Amino acid sequence: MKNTHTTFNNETLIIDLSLTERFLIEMPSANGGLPSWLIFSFFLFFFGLLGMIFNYKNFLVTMMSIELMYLGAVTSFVLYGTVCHDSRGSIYGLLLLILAACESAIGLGILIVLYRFGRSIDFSAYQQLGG
Amino acid sequence: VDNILLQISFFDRVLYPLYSSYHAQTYYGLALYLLLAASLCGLLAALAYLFSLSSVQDSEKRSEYECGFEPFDSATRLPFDVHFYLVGILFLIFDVEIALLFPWVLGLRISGWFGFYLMLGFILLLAIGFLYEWKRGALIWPSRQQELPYVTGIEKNSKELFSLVLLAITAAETFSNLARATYILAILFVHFAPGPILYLGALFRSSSSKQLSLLNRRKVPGSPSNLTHDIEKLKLCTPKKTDAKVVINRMNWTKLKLNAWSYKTAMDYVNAAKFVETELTRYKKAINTVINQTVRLAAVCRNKYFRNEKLIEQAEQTVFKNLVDTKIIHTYQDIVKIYKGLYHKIRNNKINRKGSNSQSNLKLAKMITQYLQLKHLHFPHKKTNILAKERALQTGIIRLTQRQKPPVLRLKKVVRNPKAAVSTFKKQVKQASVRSLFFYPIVHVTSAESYPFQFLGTFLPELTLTAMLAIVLTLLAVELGQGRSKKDLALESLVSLRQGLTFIAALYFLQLCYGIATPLFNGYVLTSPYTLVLKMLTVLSGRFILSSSEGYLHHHPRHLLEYPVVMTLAVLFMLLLVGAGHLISAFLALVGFSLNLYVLILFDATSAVAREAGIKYFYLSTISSGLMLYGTFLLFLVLGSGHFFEIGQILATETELIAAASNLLQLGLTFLLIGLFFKLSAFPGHLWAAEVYEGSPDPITAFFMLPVKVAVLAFLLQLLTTAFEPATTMWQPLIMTSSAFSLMWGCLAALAEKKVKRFLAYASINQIGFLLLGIASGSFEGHRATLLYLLLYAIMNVGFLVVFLHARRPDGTSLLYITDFRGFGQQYKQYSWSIAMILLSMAGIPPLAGFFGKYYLLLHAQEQELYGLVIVGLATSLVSTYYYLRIIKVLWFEGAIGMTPVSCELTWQNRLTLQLSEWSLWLFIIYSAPVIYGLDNLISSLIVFNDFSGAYFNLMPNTARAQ
Repeated sequence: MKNTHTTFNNETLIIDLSLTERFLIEMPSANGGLPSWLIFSFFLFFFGLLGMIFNYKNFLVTMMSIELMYLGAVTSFVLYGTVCHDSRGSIYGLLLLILAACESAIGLGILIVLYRFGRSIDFSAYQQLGG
Repeated sequence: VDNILLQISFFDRVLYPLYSSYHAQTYYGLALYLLLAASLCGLLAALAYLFSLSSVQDSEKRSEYECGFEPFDSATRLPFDVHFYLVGILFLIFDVEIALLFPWVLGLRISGWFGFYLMLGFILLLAIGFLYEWKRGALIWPSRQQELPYVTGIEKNSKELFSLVLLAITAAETFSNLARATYILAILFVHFAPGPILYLGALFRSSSSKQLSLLNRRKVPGSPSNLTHDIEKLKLCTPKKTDAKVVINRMNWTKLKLNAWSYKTAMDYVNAAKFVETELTRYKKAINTVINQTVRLAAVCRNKYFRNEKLIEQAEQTVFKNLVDTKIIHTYQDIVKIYKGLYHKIRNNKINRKGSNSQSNLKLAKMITQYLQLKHLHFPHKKTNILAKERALQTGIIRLTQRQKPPVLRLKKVVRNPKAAVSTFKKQVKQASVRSLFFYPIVHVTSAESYPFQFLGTFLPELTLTAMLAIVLTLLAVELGQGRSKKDLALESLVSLRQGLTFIAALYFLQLCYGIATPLFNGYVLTSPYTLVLKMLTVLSGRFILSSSEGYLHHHPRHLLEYPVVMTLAVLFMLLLVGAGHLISAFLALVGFSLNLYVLILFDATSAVAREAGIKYFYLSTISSGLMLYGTFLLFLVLGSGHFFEIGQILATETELIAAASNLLQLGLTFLLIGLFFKLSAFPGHLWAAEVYEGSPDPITAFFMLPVKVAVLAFLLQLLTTAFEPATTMWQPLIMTSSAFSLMWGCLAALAEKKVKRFLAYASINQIGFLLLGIASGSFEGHRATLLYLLLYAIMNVGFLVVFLHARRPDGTSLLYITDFRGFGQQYKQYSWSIAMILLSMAGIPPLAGFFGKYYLLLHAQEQELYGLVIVGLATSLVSTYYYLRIIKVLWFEGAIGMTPVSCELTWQNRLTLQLSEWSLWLFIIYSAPVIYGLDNLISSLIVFNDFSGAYFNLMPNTARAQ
């Protein structure tokens, strides 16, 4: 599968390469692992995930961790768009940003509802369900 | 060396100038200035500290959030203003907008004038919206003294009209070609004809509804602690002067107290009312204030949070008795004032109060008249006495018992007869919506050839559903402005959306008949027989849940106005998920319906279990979404595409790539599947299921069981058979593990379960295990068996849920324990028989359809030599027979001795549903061949993707991989 020869401002952006070649050239350390330019965003995502798992008791911290997690993923997409000269990455990043905003807005709504009716945003205060 | 150089240059540039004498002189003035400023600040602070030192520690000082606004009252509300959140959300919106503007600026060279004007239109829209909000006073922080800002009148509305027209013209101008613009506008007009009309109508109406909502937001501070103590203190320090000003101050202060929401019981209000009585007798001069306070107190007494009607009544009676007993009401004006005040208070409280408004208003009015009649009022003149009394009573009763019209409505200026205008308007809207609903399928579905028609024809059901949601929302806004009760509106919108969903299912059927199968949006959305049938299944199950939640809406003490809309929106997102042809669009749809589910669970926020269910589902769903998102990204990174058919192509052809990046691929696929397992409540993500099922309201539990499962499983099957079919070795172990553990976990946990909803959760985990078993086999027949079992799963669960959702215990609550079914068999023999058949089918007893479902699944797994999985499936099927039989035993063989059995009133539609689900289970043995044949066709429509013959994609633009 070959890519077309694309020029933009008299500058060749993508050369005729097979998908594998492109992958190996643009992602130098991709043999078995993440390419180096993705380490940052992966760690953003990973720390967000860890934050959610370890700080599950406080809802606010969880919300921040969620944001971090989504930020990591969105950054990955945008970085992909930049490094690989693929505008789709940026577009997906925008779409996901909107989702992240929605999620955080609804999360805030849940937070308010929990505090208004339950008088607590502590996860341990919500432990009455069970067999 | 580099570091040293860096240090030198840093020193040269920044630090050296500070040291050198020349520069020091220039900076000297600055330093002095800073020093002076700091000392001045310190001085001022010290002075303020010295002079403002006071030992006043009254309740106002001790109350929280004194940062420039006044907290508003309510028993269980937050002590700070909603405006905080409003502003926060505004910031969030601007955040998103900036994210949108940034790439626009960067890409302006590419997008050119078209992009420029498009964005200009967007900004214009935003600006108009912003101005609108500004005019409406959303940005003004309302305080108690300030009049509530709100704009009414036809003048303002005409301005809004003008802005709308302007907007339309600008939007038309963005399209350089006038003909094209006209064409698009015409399409928009015919398709969404009711939309603009409704919007205009809503503009007329929204002023009144806005005012109601603004007035509803009462603003009284609160200091929750030591109320009785404060009152005692107040009683002790009686002022010597009977000055009206002092009284007013005092009353203001007591008002703060009285309106504070520290009153745990209504008895506190009674005490407070007694206190007001003493105050009243002392200071007869400050009549106005006193009346205001009393009226206010009465209003607070009627606060919705005091469920005990008797206590409220007692408090009210005390208040009015006091009011009349003290005989401080001298004139007709006073009475009118009281009525006016009461009228306003009641109107303000109207939305908050539970129960039927007119009835309680009537009761209140009657009470007042009773007192006024009992106690002979002493007016200065006899004539005015009688007249005033009568008129006051009349006006009072009329005002109180009348259904409140919107307070300021200037429609009269436009139309002579507003009532007739409104009714004709409604009729027009209904006709228009009906026209737009029924006109289009005939035109577009049949003539699906040129691009826009093809687009409309293929995307019609989703578009119609969106339009319908918009119509219903606007109608809600309009009718809310007319002062209708929220419960009625919710029930009405439920009915209309239910009909709408049926219509959508019919549209899908029509599309299936016409053989519409095209990719849309460059293949981000797919349509094939498979997606159409599964969308039909999703829509119909969603419709079933929606219609079953009518009773829930009806009996719920709080208003659930947006419940039907949110549920339908969730269904819409599920439809998009089933039809997704790209990883990103699938993810968007998936998160879209999850967002709606959070809201749906937490609609019942007053119940503690629902809150717990909501927070737990939010946690786990977000984690799973995050995992899915990163998995999606990894797959996209490696494969360079997210289109299912392209992924399949790349995986089949680019073997070198797969070898080079197998780890990343495996990781991405694992993340993606784990996320999906969470949504399906299959093995690694099964832990939330029981608690969320238990805590959610009944219809939402059913919603989790039926449409969510159907949609996600349909998507999973499509993903694995079209995109990742060449990489079967990568996902097969994951699915197998998940299937095996789900089977075991669900069946073992359901054995000892006593609560119905938890039991349903575990049973559905077990059934999901079976469904995954078919996918794990990875063969054509296995997928077919999965689809068959999915169909049967939906049918069986619908049958069971019909009864479960409508069964009520004697106290009106839904069934909690399985043993609540006791005596059901004796009372409802027919229903019990159907349930028994359904349960036997779930267990897999031979003549029934469930047996064939499980048989095919196990058979085809065995053909693929998945012997371990088959053994687990057989064992759990055997064990599951026990717990299904247990319910049948409770139903039929455990009599209700000494307890009233449950009641279950089914309408004829529900009875029909139950009968149909039972009889389809019986008849499957006779009519199995057509079903299997149909499913064969569906699976082949999936497999077509793997041939890459382009049968479904010959219309596909070649821009999907334009990079």
